[in-house]
Amino acid sequence: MKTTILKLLGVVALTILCIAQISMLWLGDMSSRNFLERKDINYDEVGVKPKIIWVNTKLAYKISEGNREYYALIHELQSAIGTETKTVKIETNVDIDYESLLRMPGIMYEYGIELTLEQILGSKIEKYDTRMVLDHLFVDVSSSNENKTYLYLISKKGADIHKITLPSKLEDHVRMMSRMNDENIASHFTAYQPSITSEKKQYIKGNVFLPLNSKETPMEYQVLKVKNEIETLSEEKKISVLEEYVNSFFGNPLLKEIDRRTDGSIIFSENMRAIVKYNPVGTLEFNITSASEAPKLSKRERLVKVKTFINECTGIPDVLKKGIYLVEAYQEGEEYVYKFDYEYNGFKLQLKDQVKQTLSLDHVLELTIKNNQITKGKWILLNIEPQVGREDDIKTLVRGYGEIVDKVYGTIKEEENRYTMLDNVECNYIMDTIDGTLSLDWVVLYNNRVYYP
Amino acid sequence: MKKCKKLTLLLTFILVGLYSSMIYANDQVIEGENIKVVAVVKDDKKTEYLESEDGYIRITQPTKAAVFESKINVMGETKEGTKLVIKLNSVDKDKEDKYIVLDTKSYEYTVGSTGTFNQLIELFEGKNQIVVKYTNEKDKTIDGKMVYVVKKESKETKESIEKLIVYPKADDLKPSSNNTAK
Repeated sequence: MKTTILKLLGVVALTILCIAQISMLWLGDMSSRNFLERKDINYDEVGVKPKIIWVNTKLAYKISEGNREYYALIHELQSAIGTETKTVKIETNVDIDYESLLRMPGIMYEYGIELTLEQILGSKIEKYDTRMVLDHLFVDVSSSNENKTYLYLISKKGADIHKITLPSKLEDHVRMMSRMNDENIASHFTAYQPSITSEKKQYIKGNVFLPLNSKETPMEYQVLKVKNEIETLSEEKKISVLEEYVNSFFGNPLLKEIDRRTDGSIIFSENMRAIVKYNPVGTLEFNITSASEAPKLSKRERLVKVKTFINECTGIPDVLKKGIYLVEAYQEGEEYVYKFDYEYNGFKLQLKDQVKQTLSLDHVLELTIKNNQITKGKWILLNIEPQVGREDDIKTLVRGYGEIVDKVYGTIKEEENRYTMLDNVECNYIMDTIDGTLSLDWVVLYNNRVYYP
Repeated sequence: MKKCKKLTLLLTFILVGLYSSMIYANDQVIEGENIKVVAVVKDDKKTEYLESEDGYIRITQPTKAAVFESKINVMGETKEGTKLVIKLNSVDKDKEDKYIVLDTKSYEYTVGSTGTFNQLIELFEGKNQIVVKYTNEKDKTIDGKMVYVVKKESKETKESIEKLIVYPKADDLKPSSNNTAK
């Protein structure tokens, strides 16, 4: 009897194992296909955010911060690299060029600036050569199996390519690729063409992802409105709202002084140790005198400090925190300056010259580190949100990249009378006002000049 | 047992032969008119393009007779100022083996300073006849036409090819010399 029961239990166990194994064979794995069922991943848990993530099939599709998969992908990638910081090896002699890479299926992380891998992760990597920087990281999904995944670190417009082999499969990345290969899902996304695999390859440096819109396939987009809502408030309410932003800068907020100027600006100060100024055009800036903290911070540690400051500072609006990405980082004497741009739904906010002058800002957020502390900063306090309730809330962009590249290239060729290559071609929200609506249009960068064709 | 093994090997050969013809379907010859295949070798890489017989227009994508994607960015080169009309016809063959048009879409493009063009098209299921009409009044090229057919493979075909794993090792295909009859 006992033997029979044992035999029965053995058979049942084997049957269950069999079913599980067949399911894994057919379905890949047992974890949920629904990203929404995963724990919500907070932006605090990831290192430096990429500007955009591209899913590269034969065409490419954009995954921006507004997409639910954005943080899940970053988290998986950074966790996988993070577990290998003691053993990761970076191959420098890689026998692949940028064009061949972009002809492979994979997921491309695009950053706004060249960074080291340590800065992107926010943690130290053993024996890492800090001269090695990247502004793009390509996950070769075709290589991702149980044992490995290849990552390619790219910089200098594809001239420098290095490779890392991770000893694991990136499940979410493979799933994302599979989803975007499904026509029914991909049809809801705008398709993009990598310029390096296009007919315009010889006219654009490196690679940019070009939207495939035209008269027959127009690209729909949400119109934004921008306004400084603080200026619409009563004086009392204005101070109350501003205090919510500025109090965290002061040791004893109740003792701070408030100085209302005739030009509409308001200065909050505490014994000249901390000064925070509100400008009625819609900016907030601060200056703090602080003693130095030793020891001197490394590049990576400074970036962690900047990121922590942004996450914790109540003076920076949450909506700004979610859309910003690093675009400049440089040293000026004893100070280290960090500048951020802003994007909405994967489209950058392009500040026109007159707006930059009005705001006295080149980028939406600027921070300065001195003596290992964040001592200065300035950012926009403008409300930037989708326009709703009007007929023209959704507009379309019909001019395709071909027309734009031809137009700008033609203009430059006439001026310079020689063959040349454009530095960047993209669609951005053009901010030519601080109180009005913002539409999407083409922006071309050539030789540090911005063209609005 | 020996007979059983031989039968299995024979079946494997037949299956590989059958599936091979499916896998290589996209290497079939391109059907069309005023069209030729041009091979260019650069940096040890060979790339094939489709060109009109008069050499006026070149298509760099798509260049295969069959594809799996429903959306394709048609790309090519020609002279600046050329006006293009790209017509996409869903076609099938009638009893007389002639193509009949079931549905159609049309796209227009004027070629600019780079001499290159692109247009995202959405293919119909089955056979697609791509008709590229080109006109350049300045160049006195009027109503040139290049036609070719691209088949959009069905989702089922794509999935069956993706799921197919047939990697017989060389040793598996050789009959064993150690078998003894029972």
